[in-house]
Amino acid sequence: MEAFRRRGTAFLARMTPSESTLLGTLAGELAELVQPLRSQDDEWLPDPAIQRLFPDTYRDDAEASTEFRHFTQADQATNKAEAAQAVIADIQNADGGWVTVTPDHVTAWLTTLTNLRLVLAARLGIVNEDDASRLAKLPRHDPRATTVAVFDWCGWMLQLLVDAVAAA
Amino acid sequence: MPLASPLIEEHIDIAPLTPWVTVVWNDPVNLMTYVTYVFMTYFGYPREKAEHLMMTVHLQGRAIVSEGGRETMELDAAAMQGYGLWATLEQA
Repeated sequence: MEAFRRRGTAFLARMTPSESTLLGTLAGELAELVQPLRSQDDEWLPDPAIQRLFPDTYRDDAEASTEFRHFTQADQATNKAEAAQAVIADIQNADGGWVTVTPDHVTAWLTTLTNLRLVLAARLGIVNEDDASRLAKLPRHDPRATTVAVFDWCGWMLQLLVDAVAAA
Repeated sequence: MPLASPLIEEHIDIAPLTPWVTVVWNDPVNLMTYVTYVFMTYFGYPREKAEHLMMTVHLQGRAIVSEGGRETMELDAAAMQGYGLWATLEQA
């Protein structure tokens, strides 16, 4: 992968077929994960990843948090799903492995990479900085090592895109 | 027969606004440069202020990133959550 190069107002990344497939699959799973929350705004899934994507807004007031969620959650879920779909569309429109991120899709890419990292971190049980540094030192045969590698890869892409956007 | 007159209700409506704040909490996932970018992009803060807030989040565990009326703060908190930041609301 080669990322992210500026061309005009857009940002270009070259991805191998396996990288494109991986990111597209992850983005699709993210869209699926939040899908139930788009239509049923009262549904609450006791999933740590969902809890992190849609946190309680009032820490000491469960009732106010529920009410806030009632008014915002469907929109938030729709935004997250649509952002993931924008990333998938950009990957599908790649030309010779070059993915073009136009300015109107930058936020979709930044938020999707962030949302993927939040979900993967929840799946890995990363709650604090100690968890994160412990997982960085996993032996290669550990079953979590692949997920950690994907988490790091998403972080690397995110960092490169933030840098490219900040330099623009 | 209703006891409360419209006048009294009106008086309650214009009671002084209690200030609210949007708080962003430290988490082990979000990248420091990304958090800075979000503060600059959404709030329009200059880089120096955005970086200072990001470092406050990182080192002190939380930072107040905006303050105002409750409805404005709900918009800010929802926006921060939309960016994937861990944001909550509280009274100042």
